[in-house]
This record gives sequence, structure tokens and C-alpha cells, in this order.
Amino acid sequence: MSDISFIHAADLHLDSPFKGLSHLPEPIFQKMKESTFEALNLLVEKAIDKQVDFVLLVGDLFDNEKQSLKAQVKLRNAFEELKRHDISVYLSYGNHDFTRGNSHPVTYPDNVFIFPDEHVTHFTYQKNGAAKAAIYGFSYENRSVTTKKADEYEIASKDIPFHIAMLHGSLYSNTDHDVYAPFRLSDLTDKDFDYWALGHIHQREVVKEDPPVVYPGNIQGRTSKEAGEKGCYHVELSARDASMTFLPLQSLEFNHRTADVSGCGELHQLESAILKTVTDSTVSAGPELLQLNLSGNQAKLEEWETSLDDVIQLVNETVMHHKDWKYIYRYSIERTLPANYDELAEGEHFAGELLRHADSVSIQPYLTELYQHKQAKKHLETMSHDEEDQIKQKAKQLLVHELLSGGGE
Amino acid sequence: MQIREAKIHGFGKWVDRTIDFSGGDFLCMYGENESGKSTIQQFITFMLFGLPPKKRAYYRPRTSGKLGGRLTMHDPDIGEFVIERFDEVENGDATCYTTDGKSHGENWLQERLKGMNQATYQSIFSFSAGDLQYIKDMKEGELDDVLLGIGLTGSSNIHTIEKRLDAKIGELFKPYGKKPQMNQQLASLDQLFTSLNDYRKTETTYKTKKNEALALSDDIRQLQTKLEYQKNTAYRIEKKQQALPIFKEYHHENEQLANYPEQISFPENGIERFEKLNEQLLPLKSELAVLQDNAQTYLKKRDAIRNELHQVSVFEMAEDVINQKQTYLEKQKELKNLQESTQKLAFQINNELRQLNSSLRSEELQTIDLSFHVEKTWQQLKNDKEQLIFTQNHLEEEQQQLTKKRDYLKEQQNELSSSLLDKSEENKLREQINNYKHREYAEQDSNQQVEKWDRVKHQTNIRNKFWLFGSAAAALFLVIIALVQVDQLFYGLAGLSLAIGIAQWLTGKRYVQNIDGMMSARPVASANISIDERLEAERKRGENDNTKRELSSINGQLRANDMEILKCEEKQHSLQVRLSRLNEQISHQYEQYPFLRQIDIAYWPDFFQSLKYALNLERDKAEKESHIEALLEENRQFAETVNKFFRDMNWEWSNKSMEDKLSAIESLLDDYRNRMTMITQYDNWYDENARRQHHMKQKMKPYEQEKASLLNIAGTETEEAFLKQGKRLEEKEKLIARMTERREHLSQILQKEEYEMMLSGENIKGEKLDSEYERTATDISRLEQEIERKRQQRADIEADLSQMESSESYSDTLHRFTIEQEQLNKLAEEWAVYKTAKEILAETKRNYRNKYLSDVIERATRYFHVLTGEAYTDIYPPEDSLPFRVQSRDGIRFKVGELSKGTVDQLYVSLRMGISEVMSERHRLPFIIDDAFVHFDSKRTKRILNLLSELSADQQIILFTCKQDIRETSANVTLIDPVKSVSIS
Repeated sequence: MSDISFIHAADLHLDSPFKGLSHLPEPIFQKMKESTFEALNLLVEKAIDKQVDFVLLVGDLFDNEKQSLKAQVKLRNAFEELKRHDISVYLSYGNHDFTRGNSHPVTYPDNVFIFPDEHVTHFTYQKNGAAKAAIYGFSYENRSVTTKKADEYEIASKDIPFHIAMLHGSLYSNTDHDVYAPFRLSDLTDKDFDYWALGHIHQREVVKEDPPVVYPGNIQGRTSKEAGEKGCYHVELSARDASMTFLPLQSLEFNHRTADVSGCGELHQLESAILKTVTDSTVSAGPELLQLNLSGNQAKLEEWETSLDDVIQLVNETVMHHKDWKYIYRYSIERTLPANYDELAEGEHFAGELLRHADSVSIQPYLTELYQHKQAKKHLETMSHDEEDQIKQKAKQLLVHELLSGGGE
Repeated sequence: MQIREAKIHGFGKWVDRTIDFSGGDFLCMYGENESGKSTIQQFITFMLFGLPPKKRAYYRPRTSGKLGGRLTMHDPDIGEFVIERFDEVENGDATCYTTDGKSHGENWLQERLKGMNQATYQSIFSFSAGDLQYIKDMKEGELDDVLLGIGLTGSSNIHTIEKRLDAKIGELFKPYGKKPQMNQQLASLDQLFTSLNDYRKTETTYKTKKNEALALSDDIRQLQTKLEYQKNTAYRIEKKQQALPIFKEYHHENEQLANYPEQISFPENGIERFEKLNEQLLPLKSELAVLQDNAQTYLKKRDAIRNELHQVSVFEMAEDVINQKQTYLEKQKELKNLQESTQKLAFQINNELRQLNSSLRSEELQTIDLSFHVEKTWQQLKNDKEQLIFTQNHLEEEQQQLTKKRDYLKEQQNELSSSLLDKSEENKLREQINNYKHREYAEQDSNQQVEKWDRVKHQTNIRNKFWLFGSAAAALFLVIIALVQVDQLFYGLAGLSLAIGIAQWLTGKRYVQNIDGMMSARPVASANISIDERLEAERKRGENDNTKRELSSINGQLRANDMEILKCEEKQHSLQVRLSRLNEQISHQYEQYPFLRQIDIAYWPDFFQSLKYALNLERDKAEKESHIEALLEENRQFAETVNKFFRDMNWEWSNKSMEDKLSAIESLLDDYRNRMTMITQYDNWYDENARRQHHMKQKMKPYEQEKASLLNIAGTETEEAFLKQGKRLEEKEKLIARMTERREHLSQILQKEEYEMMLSGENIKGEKLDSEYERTATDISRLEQEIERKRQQRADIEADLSQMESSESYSDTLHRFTIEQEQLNKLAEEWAVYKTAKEILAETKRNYRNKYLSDVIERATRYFHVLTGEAYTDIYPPEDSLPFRVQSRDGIRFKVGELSKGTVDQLYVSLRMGISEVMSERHRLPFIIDDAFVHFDSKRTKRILNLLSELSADQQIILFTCKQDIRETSANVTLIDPVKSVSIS
């Protein structure tokens, strides 16, 4: 029996829109829309089920920029449910739900303890009249906190058996994300905390086992990059050790799947081959949004390209109404580039000339027609260099492929 | 670069073949259709550029597992090297071996090929008749672009690509369009964006409303505090109003209290104690009164009884009478019993006498005297007479029997004497018997002889029949054989067999007849005397003997009988003497007791007994009758005494029975005794009563003393005064208690200061309280209304808030907007790719043209000149608005569309050759032509071959053909024959 147990979750991003989903049928859209809330409800359910002492939510519960009242109301309802089971909630706000940007001050019940500002403070968790744990943390008041907050964490009283730190931020070394409240691992482990409850990074990671330094990841994947199971950690701390159990909470998964259709001689075989890949329960059993990659006979696939939309739609129609539904929201054909793609650029022939030329130009002037278009400008995201490069590569591939695929028949 | 040799280990139909390409720069490979020419070309491209696994699998030989081979190449820079590819080695990647013994990988090979890949190679360095076919199908308008494309790239699809890109771009977006996908997407996004903003605005009011609600809650709280205060005030007033009448009462009572003296002397609980004493005295007093009353009554009653009583002498006399009463009654009873038994006895006597059936009367009985011996005498007489009569009867009977017996014997004697036979007859019978015995022995002999003859005769008959049927059967059998065999001999044998059978039968028959004759001839003997006669004779002789014996016995018996008769007569005589003596004695008795005459002597002893009993009864009766007489006398005396008492008392007595009289006296006595008892009882009671009265008075004494002491304490003389004083004290105490109660009540209703104020006597007016109360009530109702109004407001706002909380519009729209935005971005990316591709293609085309086109055209013109038989001199590429043109010998320029099909073909070939030549300056790869000139006439073919031959100085040319004339025209020809091994001609 552990001395205290709690749930550690972060980055709920309740009701934040998903990225990269361009078209969804209504039922899937509804499921997508509710997925963050379903994950939250499951979190509450698990907390009650495991009879934890409290729940830690380490920032980014919702997005200020696109916040809906619904997100906060549902959050409040969840807290009320936890209150009914005497479970406390320790909550800090992060870079997405910083306190000054919150326009819906929904009042939470009194089992919720919110770190009020950017100063690291602590709450004491009492169990049966005795101080059991001190929980430290701070909330973002503004969109970004760039100071080294880890230095501010200090043990309050030696009398309290457990010290748990909540920190929404990232390692200096992690440059994939915006670096907020940066820290080095040693900054954390040098202090005598029993558990570092981190937030901000959506990919779950146990950075260190002893003492535990943990990113629980977000509770529901929201882009194709956030693939696989998502959830929270059920942590049990005792004087001797700490045990951490990952509890999946996601209501649907983003996943990539590759269908090998090289065995398909005819178009009609394609559907069942894809269906087989999609419904392969050994990979994942739950509801999924899938990005499908088709690999197989290049020429055949190109021949079928115009019918692929229909085939995918047929597959979707079959699998999207199951309890553990699947939906292919994007698919691509695996193109094997000519092996000597770079060599080709050296050639004196037209293709070589074309590749050389493409590498030398900037594509931006080609695109002003759209990106400077008055109406379109509003809704389009500005293109990054990477994206520009990607587009150029795609254009090159397209042209070389067309030029070399045998004369346009 | 030149191909020197191809070693095919296995590829398509080719297995383990070596093809030599070293014969010269221009090679002609001849083979008939389906001889495997194309496969060789595919092998070369496979060796040079490799093939994806699928295509490799296609070329896997049917007969061999191997796929791959070697291609020996010659490069002017590095000399000879070998490209080796096998399907299963390095996934089909090439291994190259150079002459210096080094081996190199795929990359090395690609370096050598200088950016050439299979597709590019095929479009530039190999062409076939099929390519021309495409030109023929081309529409006129497109021909220009296609030819230009060919001029630039060797392939015709640049034009197609440009067209397709344009179409895609147009489908996706037009800056001023409405229909293209992105334009539509933009429109719907604008719409969503507007509604999203609307919803967002609505949601931002949440904060304001929430604050409003909070402010209202504060107001309500304040108002409620006020209301609370006012309600409390009203309540206090109500309480004062409630207290006022109570206070008035209290005031009144206070005044009353002044009327009572300060001190009232009275014993503690005086009245209660006094009453208690009285309570205890009262039953004692009443009991005493009852006792006194009773005593009087007792005395009165006792005296009354005494007066009523008679004089004592009367009672003494009556007592005497009653004392004798019992004796009298007993005597009466005895008398009655005696009379009854006398009657019974008289009846019994008469009865007895009647039974005796004699003439005796009961009166006579008294005269009869029976002495003790009489009984014995009568018994003796009876016995004697019976003895005599018995003896007499016996003798008479004996006499009769003897007489009868004598008669019977006499009769028998006579009968037997008459049945005896004569002497003569007896002798005759004896003789007859002797004769008969002699004849019996002769008959037995003759009967045995007859039986023997019968047996012989029977056996002979059976043998005869066997012989006859046996011979007949044999004969029949033989005849059948004879019929079957048709043989006379068997007929003969049959006849013979039959004859033998018949002869045998006849012999047997005769023998039997002889025996019969012998038997009938035997004589039968006859008898002289019959058996019956003999038996009769013997019986008669036996009977006669028996009769003689019986007769002698009867004679003996007759003599014994006569002796018996004599004895009997003797006995008769003695009997008669004894009889006469008895009769004498009997007569004597008759004289003495005449009544015996009527009684048979046999019953005399019994008669004696009965008579004696009757006499006894008679004696009893007489005794009792005398006793009765005595008793009657005594009773008469007693009755006299009683009557005398009645007379003395003057009571009526004549009609009354003795019993009534006695009971009257008895009741008189009883009455007297009762009264005496009562008097005694009353005396006792009176004494008891007196004792109790005294006791009672003793009991009452302490109570009386107690009472006196109570009165003493109160200082009163009488009980009345005592009680009055007690009551006064009680009233005063009650008053004080009531006042305390009221004070208590007031203190409960009122707060402390109010209570003190009121008791201290401040003047409080009811009207003032009423008006104060009314004012407060108005305040309360005003406050309540205010609160209600605010509550309503707050409820409205909260309803709004909760509606907002449950609304999903913003959330929903946000998600939709995001998705649609994603869609736009996705389309934008798609568009950007197409657009970029289009621009790059256009720019490249321009650059390339500037760079190579004049060169290509120059070389192509040379070919065109030759191919057209010098009919055309120049080719002009499209420029500005001008299309592709060619100039004829006579200087006239024609547009491509104006040329004949053949000329266009020649132009195509020229351009292909031109580009190939230009490119070969860098790449120097072998040029493979697959029957591209199949449609050319022999003159032109010859020309082109010459040209190629010329060209081959710089570039190896391999021409595959199935045309005989080309074969003949060519210098270096290799025969391709899949059956035979390839050789160089």
C-alpha cells in the first residue's frame, strides 16, 4: 500500500481543434470534437476507480486563443465529480491557458487548488488530519515564461513526508517546441523532490526514473504527429519507492498505417487489401484516425490513382460505423524516386536541366497569385521555408515523374 | 561508350547466350519476328540501369532459375569494364569490374552514365516504329508543341504535362473565379468565420454576466440582513404587545396583596391536619353511634319475645308427650308388621292344605296330633307293599315264558321228523356220483392235436402269396427292360419268371387243402351223464345227514323245560301268605287317621312331611295373634294422653290424626326452644356491644386532644373560626404565587431590559406599540419585494449563463472552421505544387531551348535533308507566334501542318537523331534503333543507313531489324536466332 497516490496529467487542450484533418464525415467529426472531453471523463473515472488522493494537472488545460466556454464548463463538471469522491485537484496554468488571457472565469469547486501566479508556491495535502504531501508549482500569467523557474523550487518543510513539483516547461535541449521555463535535468534532480510532474511536451516520457521526472504527454492526440496511446500516469509514492503506471485515456488514436497492395492485380482487390490493413486489430484495437500509405506496384497504383478516392471512401464507409471505428483521413502512394535522382540532375538532357533549374529558383513569386489574394490571405497560413522546400520537392517529383513516365500517354 | 559483349545467363527466352557487339560501330541485328530482339534490348537497358524487382520477375526465364548476366562495355576514358547484374545478388544492383581488377558498385556505374536513367535513355537513345505511330495520331494544332518537345527532350510529353498542370491549377483556384474548389472553400470559410466571431462575442459576455450575477447576490445578501433586523424589531413589538395584559394583571394583584395582614398565625398545614383528624374521628364516632343504637334494639327485642311465651308447665307436658312419641310410633310399626305376617301365614296354610289334596280344613289341623313314630310306620308299610307286588309280577312272567318255550320245541320236533329221506333213495344217489368221475379223463387228449394242424396251414398260405407276387414283379421289370432294349431275350426271361411264380403258388395251395381234409375227418366223443345231475345227487345226500342231527338236539331241550315249570308253581304259593298280613296293618292306620283313605299308601311318607309343615305354620299364627292384642291396648292408652293435652290447650283435635296432633305439639316445643335461644343471643350481643362502646371511646380520645391543640395554636375557640383563619392564609399565598408566575411569564416573553423597564413601572401604551408595529411591517414587505426582484434578475442571468454553459455553438463552429481551414491549406499546398511545377517547366523549357535548340535543329536539318532526298534544306523552330516550319529546296517555307505524313515522320526521325547526337556529345551512349524505318522505302532506308553509319563514328549504333533489305544494306550484321547460337557473319 502506497502512502499517497495521484494522477499526473497535463496538456489537456480541451476543445482545441485538431490539426491536419481537412474533411470528416459528421459522425467522425462529432467523435473528434468530443474526444478531449471523453478523455477527461475517463481521467476522472480512473481517478475515482483508483481512489487516488489527488489529481495533478500541469498546465495547458485549454487554449486561450481558441478557448470555448464549453471547455471550462466541462472541466468544472469534472472537478465537481472528483469532489464528490473527495479527490483534490492541484492545477497550474501553462503557456496556452495563461491566467491573463482567460476570458471565462468559470468558478471551480473548492477541492481545486490553483497556483495563482508565476511565483512558485505550494499547497499542503492533508490526509486524515496529517500533512501528507507538499505540492509546488506556478501558473503562467503571460503567454511565455522564459526564466529558469526550476531554480525557484525549494522544499518548504522537512516535516511533510512527500514533495511533489509541478512544472510546465521544457528541457533546454528540446528545441522541437517553444522553450518555456527551461531547465536541465540536473536542475531538477539536484533538489530533493519526490516527484517532478512536468507538462508542455505532448509526447510522454519518463525522463528519469529516480526520482521520477515525468512528462505524461497529452491525454488525447490531436494531430497526426501525436500518434498512438495518450493518457496520464497513475503514481503511487511510498517512503521506499515510486511506481508509475501509464493509463491510456484517448478516445481515438492518430496512427499511420502502410498497406502493402503489391499483391493486388486488379482494382477491386485493393479495397479488401486496404480493409485488412485498416482493421488489423493486432496493431490497435480502439477507434483510430488513420493516415494510410499505399505501397506496391508503382505503375498499377498510378493507373488506379483516379479511383483511389472512391476505394478509400468505400473502406471508410465499412469501418467508420463500428464501435472501434477507423477512418482514413489521408492517404498517399509510396513513390520510389528514380534511384539516381541526383545523378539525373547532372544530365545534359531536359530532365537534368529542369532539376538544376528548380534547385536554383525560389518558388515564392510563383505563388503570390494565391497568397496575396485578398480573400485567401485571411485564412491561409504563411508558408515556412520548410514548407516551400517541400512544395518545390513535390513539384520536382511530379515533373520528373511525368517527364520520364513514358511520354504522356 | 560502346557495348562490346552481352553474356546472358538468363533473361526472358535467352539462357546462357553470348552476343558479340564488338563487330563495329554500327551494328545491325537481324532477326525474324518473335526471335527475341526486344528482349535483347531490354537486357541491355537492364544491365545499364537495373530493373525493379517486379519487372525482373517478369523476365525470369521459364527454363532456368537464373536471371542476369554481364555486359562488357568500353569507355574511352577508363577502357573496358564489365557490368554484372544478378537478380539475387545485391537486390539486382550492378557490380562493375574494370581491367585493373577493381570492382565497383551501382553508384560508380551511374557516374559513368552521367545522369542518364532508363526513361531518359529510352527517350533519347532508343526509338522504334511505335514512336512514329504516335506522331501519326497527333492532331495538327498540337504537332508544333510536340515536335518542339521532341526537339528538346526526345519525348513528346512536355506538352501533355503542361496541359495537365494548367487544368489542375484551374480546377483548384482562379483569382477571380467562384467555381474552383478553393474559391468555394474560401467562401464557406468566410461564412464560418463570421458566425464564429458572433459566437465568440456571445461567449465573452459570460464574464460580464457572471459579474452582474455576483453583484446581485451581494445586494440580496445586504437586503436580507436589513430584512432580518426589521423582522426582529417587529417581533419585539409583538412580544411587548403580548406582555402588556399580563403586566396589568400583575399590577392589580399587587394591590390586592396589600389588604392582607403581614402575619397570620396558623399551624403549619393547619386545615389539612385538622381535616385529617376529623377524617379519622368521623368513622369512630359514627361507629359508636351505631353501637349505642344496637344496644337499645337488642333489649327491646328480647323483652318482646319474653312476653309472648306460655307458662313453663305446658311445655313440660308437651315434652312428656313427645318423649313417648317415639315408642308409640315403634309400636304402631310393629303392630302393622305382625298383622301382615299373620295374614301371610293363614294364606300359606290354606295353600299347603290345598296342595295336600285332602279333605282337611285348616280348623281341623288344630286337632291333629302327630307322634314321632307315625312317620316310621308309614314308611314301613309303603316299602312292604311294594316288595310284595314286585315279587308277584316276577313269578307270573317266568311261568309264561316256560310255557311258550315248550310249545315251540314240540313244533320243531314234528317238522324234522317229516322231512327225513327213505333208505332206497339214498343208495341210488351214491352210485350216480361214482360214474361221472370216470368219464372226465378221456376228453383232455383230443384237443391238443387240432391246434398243431392249424399253425402249419397258416405258414404255407403266406409262402404261396410271396412266390406269386415276386415272380409277377420280376416279369414286369423284365418286360420294361425288353421294351427299352428291344431285346427278345428279356421277353423270354419275363415269361419264365412268371411261370415259376405261378407253379410255386399252385403247389402251396394244394398242400393247404390236404391239411384241411385231415382236420375235418377227426371224430368227436359224446358224454353219458351231465355235470348238473352229478352235483344234484351229491347235495341231496348232504341235506339228509343234517336233518337227522337237529332232531336229536330238540328232544333234549324238551325235557329241561318241564323241570322249570314245576319250580315256579311253588314260589306262587308263599307270596299269597305275606299279602294278607300286610292288609291287616293298613286297616289299622285308616281307623286312626281317616283322611289317609283318600291317599295311596305309596305317598304316605311324603304326606307326613307336608302335614307336619302345615301344623307348624298354624302354631306360629296363633302366637302372633296374641301379640297383636297386647300392642293395640298400649296404643289406646297413649292416644288418650294426647287427647287430654289437646283438651287442656283448647285446641281443636277431634278431626285430626295422631300424626298431626303430634307434629302440632312438636312445633309448639320447637317454637319455645327457638325463642329461648334468641333471648340468650340478645343478651350476649348486648354485653358485647357494651364492651365495644367502651373500646371506641378509648380510641377517640387522642384525636380529640390533637384537635384541641390545633385550635390552641390558631388562637381560635371554634372549629369554624379555625378554618376561616386557615382559608385566609391560603388565599394570600395563592396571590403571591400567581404574581411570581406572571413575573416568570413576562421574563420569558420580554428581553431583560424590557422586563426591568416594565416592572419598574414605565408607562407603556398599547396604541404606541401598534403604530410602531405597523411601520415595521411596511418596511419588511418593501424589503421582501426588493429581494424578490433582485432574485428574479439573478435567476434570469443565471439562466443565461447556464444556457451559455451548455451551448456548444462556439465549440462546434470552431472545430468546423478549423477543419475547413485545414482543407483550404491542403488545397493551397496542392495548388502550390502544380503552380510551381508549371512555372519551373516553363522556365526550363525556355532555358533549354536557348541552350540546345539551335544545335539540335542544325543537326536535325542535316538528317532531314538526307532523308527527304534533299527536298528540304532547313528546319525552323517555333519562334514567337510562328510555328515549326521547314524550307524546301526552292526556298518555300511550309508549316508542319502543311507537310505530308511521310515528311512529318522524317522530320520526327530527324529531330530524334538530332537530339540524340547533341546529347551524345556528353553521354556517348549506344544508340539503339528498333526497326524505326520500317515504313521507309529502300532508297530512303539506304540513305538513313548511310547517315547512321556516319554517325556511328562518334556513337555506337545498334539497329535491330527484321527487314531483309536492311540486312542486306548493312555492313556488320549479326543474325539473331534463338535456336542457333549467335554468330557473326
